[in-house]
Amino acid sequence: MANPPTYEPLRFNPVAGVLAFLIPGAGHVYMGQATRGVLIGAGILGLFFGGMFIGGLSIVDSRSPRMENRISYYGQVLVGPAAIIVDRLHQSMFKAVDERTRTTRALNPGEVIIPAGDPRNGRNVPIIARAADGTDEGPPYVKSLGKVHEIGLLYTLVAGMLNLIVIIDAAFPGGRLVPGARKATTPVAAEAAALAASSARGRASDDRSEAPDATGGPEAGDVDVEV
Amino acid sequence: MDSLLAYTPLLDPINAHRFWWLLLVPLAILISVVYKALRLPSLRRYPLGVAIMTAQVLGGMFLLGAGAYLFVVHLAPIVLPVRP
Repeated sequence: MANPPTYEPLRFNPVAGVLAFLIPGAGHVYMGQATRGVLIGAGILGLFFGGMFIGGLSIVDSRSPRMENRISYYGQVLVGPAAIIVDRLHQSMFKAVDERTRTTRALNPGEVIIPAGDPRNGRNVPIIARAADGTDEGPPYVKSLGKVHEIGLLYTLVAGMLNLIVIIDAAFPGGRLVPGARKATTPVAAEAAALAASSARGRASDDRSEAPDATGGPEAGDVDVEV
Repeated sequence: MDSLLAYTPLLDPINAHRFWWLLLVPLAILISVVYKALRLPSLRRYPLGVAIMTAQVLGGMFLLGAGAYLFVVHLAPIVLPVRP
């Protein structure tokens, strides 16, 4: 080992981290990696809303009677405001207080929500009441069950977990190998060398996908790598 | 038919109980899309990287499923025979 491998200094970019949380992929767009950011955003929001498309609104429910839903919400919320807004809409528009049990729940068939302020509602919160006879009232949405529910939860949870990685990558750019003198000798070392060569060309010079070799950085095998 | 008419996207679940396993394919694709966008130093070979990772994830899931099937259906009854 001629020279120990050196790394780019680990930087801290709090603005990019916050942007990555607010809108998935926005942190990378802010850092000048537009294509990368768009791909990340499309993937994460595709997973989140794909999960909702599969499992319906009951997938995102921070106050669900199902424990797996309540626990999963902590992962889903990492997607950012999108998950928080969906949950708030779910709680405020599709749930109400059951006066018999004093709990907040979604509607069952044959029930309606009586909003606060309605003369039939003596409380200051929306309550659940029986629908009038003859009206075909029903629940505002159907709860998912079984495998469909599990797959929907999985989609939204994976979206949140991936966005956590994205937030960390946006908030702490750098930490990659810089070019050295020794050749990489293994596939892993070669990949690390390519990474270091790319980093040396400058991560901030917009999208690395557009012209990765345009600046003529060192070859992949000419980098000091410790494997 | 009534349930089809009442279906509202993003509110109601889709009726995929018979082919739920097919939904693992877009899951693997989207995971690969995000992960490779994050990890590849250059996006020049991005589509190929996504395709390879998707195939690896799906292949891994298939092998795990096949292994679990072989264990539960064939191996477990040998190791732990069910006694009437």
